[in-house]
Amino acid sequence: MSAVARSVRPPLWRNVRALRIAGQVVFVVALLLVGREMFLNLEYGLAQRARDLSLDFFGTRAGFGISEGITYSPNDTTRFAYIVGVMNTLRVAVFGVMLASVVGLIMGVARLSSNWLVRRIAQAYVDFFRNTPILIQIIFWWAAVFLALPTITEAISIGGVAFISNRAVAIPWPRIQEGAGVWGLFLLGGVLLGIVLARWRTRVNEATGKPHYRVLWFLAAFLVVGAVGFVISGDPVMMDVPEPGRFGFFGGFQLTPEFGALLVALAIYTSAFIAEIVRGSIQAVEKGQKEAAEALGLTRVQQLRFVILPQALRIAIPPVNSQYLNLTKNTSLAIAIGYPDLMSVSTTIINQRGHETEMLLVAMATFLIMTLTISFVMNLLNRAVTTKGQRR
Amino acid sequence: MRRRMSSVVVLAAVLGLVAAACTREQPQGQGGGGGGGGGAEQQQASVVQEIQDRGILRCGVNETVPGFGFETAEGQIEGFDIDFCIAFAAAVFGEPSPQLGTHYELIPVDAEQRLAELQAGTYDVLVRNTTWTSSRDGAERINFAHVNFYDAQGMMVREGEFASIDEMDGARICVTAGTTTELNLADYFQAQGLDFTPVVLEDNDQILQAFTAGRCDGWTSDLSQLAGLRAQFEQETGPLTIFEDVMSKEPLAPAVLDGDQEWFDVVNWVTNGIILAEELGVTSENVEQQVNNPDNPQIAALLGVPFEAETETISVDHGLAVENDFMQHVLAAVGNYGEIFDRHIGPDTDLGLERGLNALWIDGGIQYGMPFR
Amino acid sequence: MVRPREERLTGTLPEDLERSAILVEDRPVAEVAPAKEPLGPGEWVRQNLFSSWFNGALTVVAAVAGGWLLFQITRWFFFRAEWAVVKANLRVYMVGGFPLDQIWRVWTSLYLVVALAGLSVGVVAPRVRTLRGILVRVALAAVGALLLMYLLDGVGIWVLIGVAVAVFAAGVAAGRLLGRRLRVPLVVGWTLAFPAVVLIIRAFGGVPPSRWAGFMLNLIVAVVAIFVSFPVGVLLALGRRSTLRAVRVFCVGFIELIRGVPLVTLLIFSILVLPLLLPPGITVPRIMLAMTMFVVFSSAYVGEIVRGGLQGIPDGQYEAGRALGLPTWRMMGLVILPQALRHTIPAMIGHFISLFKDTTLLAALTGFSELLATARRATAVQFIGAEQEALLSAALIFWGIAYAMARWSQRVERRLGVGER
Repeated sequence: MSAVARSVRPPLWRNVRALRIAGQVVFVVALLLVGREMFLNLEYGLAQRARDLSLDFFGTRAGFGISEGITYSPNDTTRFAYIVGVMNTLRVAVFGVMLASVVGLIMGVARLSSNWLVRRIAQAYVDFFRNTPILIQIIFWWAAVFLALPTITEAISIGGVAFISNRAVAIPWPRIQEGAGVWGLFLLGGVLLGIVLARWRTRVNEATGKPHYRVLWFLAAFLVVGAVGFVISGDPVMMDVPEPGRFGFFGGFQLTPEFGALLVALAIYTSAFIAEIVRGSIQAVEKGQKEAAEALGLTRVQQLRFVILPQALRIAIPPVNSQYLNLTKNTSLAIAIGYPDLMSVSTTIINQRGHETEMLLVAMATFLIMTLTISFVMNLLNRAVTTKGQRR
Repeated sequence: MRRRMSSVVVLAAVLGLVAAACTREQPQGQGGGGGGGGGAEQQQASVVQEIQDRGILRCGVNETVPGFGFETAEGQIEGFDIDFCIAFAAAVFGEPSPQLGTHYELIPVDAEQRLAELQAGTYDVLVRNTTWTSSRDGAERINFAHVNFYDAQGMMVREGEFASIDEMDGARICVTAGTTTELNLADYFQAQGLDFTPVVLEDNDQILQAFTAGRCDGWTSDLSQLAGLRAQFEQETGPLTIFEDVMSKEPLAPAVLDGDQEWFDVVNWVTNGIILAEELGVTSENVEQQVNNPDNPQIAALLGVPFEAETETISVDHGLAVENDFMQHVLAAVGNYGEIFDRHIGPDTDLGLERGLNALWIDGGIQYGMPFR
Repeated sequence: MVRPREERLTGTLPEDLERSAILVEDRPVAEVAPAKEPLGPGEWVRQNLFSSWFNGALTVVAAVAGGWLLFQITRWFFFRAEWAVVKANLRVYMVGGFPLDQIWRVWTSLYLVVALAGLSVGVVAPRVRTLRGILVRVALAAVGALLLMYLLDGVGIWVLIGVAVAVFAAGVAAGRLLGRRLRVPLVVGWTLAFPAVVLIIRAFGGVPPSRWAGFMLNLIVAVVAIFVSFPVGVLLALGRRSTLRAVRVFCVGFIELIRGVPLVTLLIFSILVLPLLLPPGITVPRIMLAMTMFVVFSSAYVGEIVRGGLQGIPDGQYEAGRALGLPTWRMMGLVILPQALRHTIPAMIGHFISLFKDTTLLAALTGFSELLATARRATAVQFIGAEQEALLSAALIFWGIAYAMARWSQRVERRLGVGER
């Protein structure tokens, strides 16, 4: 204040700095007042119902069953029931992100194919799935596809190792056995050896101009070491083959209709968006770059691999990040088909225990942590690819 | 020019909001005596008054249980529970034929949210096959009125798959999320030493889809609901069996929020009066005649009219928050307990439920109307 | 004429590159590309489908897979599917349990919107001249008419729809006639249409929000959310770029919080907790609570989009605004925002499309009979097992509108030249 007074001495109401401070104070006070009013209303409303804000209910016995997820019984605490829900959400999110990325990449490249038919099919795929509400898609997959599969007694058996029914689609899945640790060390060694060999080939190529075949060398080293390790450590991984029972399957990886519908619907829906991002990013790479690559006589695959994709990737990462976030958030639509994700477990807890305010705040915080983590990882990735060889 | 346009835009937006938010939806005199958070005691003076000011009663109902509360193909919700909502509206407004949208409003709500929304004030009364339990009465601060249906939890399976619940070790069982049924299922199977996997879904519609498709082996719910669902859908699902092993007692009652005794009394005595009317033989048909010329003092008291005895005129003032003659309108609107039962769930309907426990005490049941006096 | 000159490249390029010769032209490339010669059908097929061995194989595989899928879908659509569920529930789909004696309010609103739409089309859209454009429109109209002929029974409904078509046609004609003069009145008209529709449905003994249902509910919720969230979102964006720290922190926190949480969670919050935050005694209908949350949700996204637009404005524009001596808010309103908003139009339309689709989320909370909920309900009351038909028809309604809006947005994008630098 005094500094201003010294120089020009405008009256207080025209002093920019004073006005700025006053404005902020007014803003903050108004916010606090509104917040206080809301909190008082909440407190009053809860008091009228003789309830209080507390998280104690998390320690009580849950009492309700959960249809799938990590091992759990109704005798566990409510807190553990919630954790089961969180794990179920993560399971869908992780598989969904992987599936959506792969399908999205394929469809995005197909959108730009020189083949008219492939291009058109990819476009129809994107146009249809992008413009249909995700919730309808999820319900459709559940009610009209997965539940319409044969019943357990008429399950389709694929060679006796995989089964398709509306109780679950069960497929063999690797299970780690004893000795996996040793094998893991071998695998790590294989990777290290592969990297060393690839470096050596690069140097040879740079020095002599002979072809480097880095990838082949790397894979060969990895596979040989891995295979040797597999034999030495004595079957570290077994294929867990599902077995049909009267009411369901035992073992293997089981896609229940709820999990399957949610996963497939989210993956397809998100992949349509990712496909558009991939297409847009490839097209956004300056025309001159492609022309230059062509001028250098690179083949189409080489153009993509060495010139277009590395640049497109940089453009694509931020929007793809937001698609990953959307997918993660959309897992909460599980409540419409009864998949026990964190949101549907939360609503069950609200009904059995009350405490909707606290429970919803916890659920929101959980989602915030998840989305912030994804954003953080994607930002790291973004930094890694932009700093590498970026001019600025 | 530009200036004027933008102000029109703003004006229109504001107008739209106001129109959307306010038109009659808010109680006119809601300011009244107690404005802010200070006048806590006076604030919740009377729900009855609030409803009358608002001009419409809001009931939380189910729209997926045939017979009790079910949305028909025309988009209308009908059933046993709905008639009780109509009865409350008749009592509060003194209206012999309450109209949907004018006197009462039906808010469909699922099992998971029904209590939270009652607490949030979304509706005034919950008539949605809700079981009266101690923790709901206590911890959840809900007040249950007279039981309008004594129910029990049962298990429905496809015919021939199981002979009894004991055979269902390891089975997949469909259950509605957030219900006492869900808790009972876990407790019962645990007590019997049986293993099971629940398939927890949001409402009966979804369970119906899953059960019909063979997603689960059993469907557990209140016996009345199961009977209704079996009657409605047996053509689609094939023959069904309902096991008589009763997994729990489920007394279903209309529920209001703790804290307003007057409103609770109204809900309680309307329910009670409907049962008593059957006992006394007052029906929707003869109610008018009974009003003019009541058979006995009890009927006169029920209908809130004076009874001309030989020596004196006996008149009863109930002192409830509604007009003394409220039962006249209630009975004219929906009839007595037997009539409501027969209309929606009785032997002549698709559900074909026997009265069972819900028969009057004089007929061997446990429905017992408290006296109006 | 063009003399190729050979050059060899050296360095660390992949080995096979080094052998290839590169043609470098001595003369500058012609500035205008020569017009493409039309291809004969044989040539077209060769270039587009069988340009290489790999491409040929791809074509065959795609043709077999696509053809099989198309055959299955067509067969199901025309011969297997039982469309009775849609036919029986058409009114419920559109307006749910809306009281029949009040249905004229819906029709009146529809005519109002159709008239405005007709006028706008007449003013904005150019006359269709190309044969292809005409054919596409005729085909679309024919498909629509056939669909309606299948779905609708009764004379009354035909008269009502006929009036709608007539109103639309009259609007187009009037729009053509009056041309650009109508632009400003149209903007005002559209702006007033939203409160007008709400009034027509609600006021003077109308239908309370708790009974709004069906596709009408989806539309109302979407329009309200779009309308109200736009100004709020602009304010949030300005706040986020404000130099006042307190304002900035609040806006950033608000936007990130809302964007980090799923809409379903927010909606459940709005139904269960929001009433507790309001002063005691005030009861707000559930649908209003949900709409409030749609507005809050949407404004956070609008805020982000507008911020993106603001960031694209070069500093020079701000400096120019200040140099003119404009105070901050006038500089924003007259110089910065008009440019920034123009750049955000495609993203904004994209957001509004997804908001429109997101209104189906009301079906995840019970008690809102919007289109998806009614479609689901229909298969649990009477048409058990008709899930595919019921859900697909609901999906197609949303798809049709969302797709049309997306196409329109692409056109706008091209016309504005946004994205081209």
